[in-house]
Amino acid sequence: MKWILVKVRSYQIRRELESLGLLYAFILLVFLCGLVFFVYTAYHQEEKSLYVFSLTILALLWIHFSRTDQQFVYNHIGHPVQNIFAEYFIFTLPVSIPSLFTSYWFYFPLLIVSIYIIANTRISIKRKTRFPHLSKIISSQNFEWLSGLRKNLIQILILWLLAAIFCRIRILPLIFLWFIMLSVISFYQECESLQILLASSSSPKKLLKRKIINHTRFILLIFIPILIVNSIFNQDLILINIIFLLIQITTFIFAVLLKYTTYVPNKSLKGNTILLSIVSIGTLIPFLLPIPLFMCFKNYGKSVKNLKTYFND
Amino acid sequence: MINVIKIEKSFGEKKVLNSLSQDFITATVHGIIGLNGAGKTTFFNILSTFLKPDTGEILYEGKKITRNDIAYLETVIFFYSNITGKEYLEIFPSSNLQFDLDNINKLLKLPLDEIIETYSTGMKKKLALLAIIKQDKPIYIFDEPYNGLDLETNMALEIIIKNLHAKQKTVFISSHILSPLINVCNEIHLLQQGNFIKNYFKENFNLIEQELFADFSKSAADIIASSI
Repeated sequence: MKWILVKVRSYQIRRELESLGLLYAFILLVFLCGLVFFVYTAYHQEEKSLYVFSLTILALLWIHFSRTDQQFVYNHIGHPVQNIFAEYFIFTLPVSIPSLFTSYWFYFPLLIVSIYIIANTRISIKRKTRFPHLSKIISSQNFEWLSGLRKNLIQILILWLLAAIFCRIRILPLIFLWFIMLSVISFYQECESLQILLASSSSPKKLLKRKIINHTRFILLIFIPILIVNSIFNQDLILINIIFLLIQITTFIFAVLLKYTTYVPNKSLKGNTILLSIVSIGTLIPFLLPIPLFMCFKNYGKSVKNLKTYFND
Repeated sequence: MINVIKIEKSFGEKKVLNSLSQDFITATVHGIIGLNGAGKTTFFNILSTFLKPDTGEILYEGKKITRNDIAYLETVIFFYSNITGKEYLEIFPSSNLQFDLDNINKLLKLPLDEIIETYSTGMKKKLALLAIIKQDKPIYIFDEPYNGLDLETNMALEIIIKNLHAKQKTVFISSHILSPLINVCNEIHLLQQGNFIKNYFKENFNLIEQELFADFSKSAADIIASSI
């Protein structure tokens, strides 16, 4: 059996790493090492090891049932089940091997058996139109939000409700709002076609202004009610809540600008995830707070310059 | 008149358009034909101003052609994920006041309230076609519009093109299949190695096939017979 899928994934990973550059590839490596260490320590405790195992299985199930290449793999690749099995087995090694060095080593063979069962299962989740009437609330010009909310509305709603429920508690609602912002910045990782870009505005500056103003309104609608109630119950936190809101808006503006700095028609911008994550995590660390603002200034000119090539401006 | 004047375009070392010059009569349906790699899509991309030529220019009625003059249906169409067909169409300006979505969709039968990921290839093509014809422009470009369309929609597209012609629009259309072009075009232009080498008018459309494939058909039979 040729390990075709593993080979294909290795080509893809190599290209992604090359496009990221040395610094971000190094940061990714550090994250990976951290993950392995975290999993290793978790495997020392009964409860946590069960969580790690269950999360791995859930992630695999989600990946397997939502993968779009299933039909291609089964039709055109020899030994499809073995290939899928090999792919899952290799890529779960960072979370499965640490168990071998603990008393919960049995999760390793258990994971292999689970992977084998998953690889043999051929069901795919059928794409459905979620929230078909969303465009009555959000206009089609704000397609990033339409698309993003269709993907993440339930998750955002749960986080917002949790923030609302725990509104009286200090800081906790801010953490839920921070997670919402993580979800929102992921809306900007897909480049629209040139036709859509040019239909949206007549110049780069107008486009950026319109997107930033319109979309910031959505952020304010989500964040302000929670922050007001939280400030009523915790009046000593009013200033912190205002600073939090400003920083989150700056992070959001950075996400929009980064999209258009790296905009190439029809391209997926998954490579931006790492930089966006670093900036988002930076907003939780006091001495890194100016980073989003600095990144906005840095990227505004760059995004206008990049867009000018498409607007023939 | 649309005047294409000495357009050159290279990608790296490869010269795709080579001092391309051609005058196109307006209010006419122009077919662009050529083998793979002849430069059809590059020509359309430059005509639509999506791509800048290395040298040369294109004039429309004596003035430099602008993006506002053109509606362009590309070969490969990209759709933003998780938006419905109706939402996709709303992104584009509705400058064609006659455009009646509900009415035309009785013909095309698109599930406009479903997200585009659930559409078949042909349905996506139809949706992109709707986005183009809802715009009122003097020039329409259709690059390989027949790819993936069912027989009924093929016929509908022919009617749409004839309708645009009747409204005095200038239409450019390319296709790998000759027969639909012969049905709708007033003129067909042969693009070869980055230049227009011949123009055909209605009365000599019957010569196209034998001239287009003249060199190719000589060697193809021998190569295929010895290779497969």
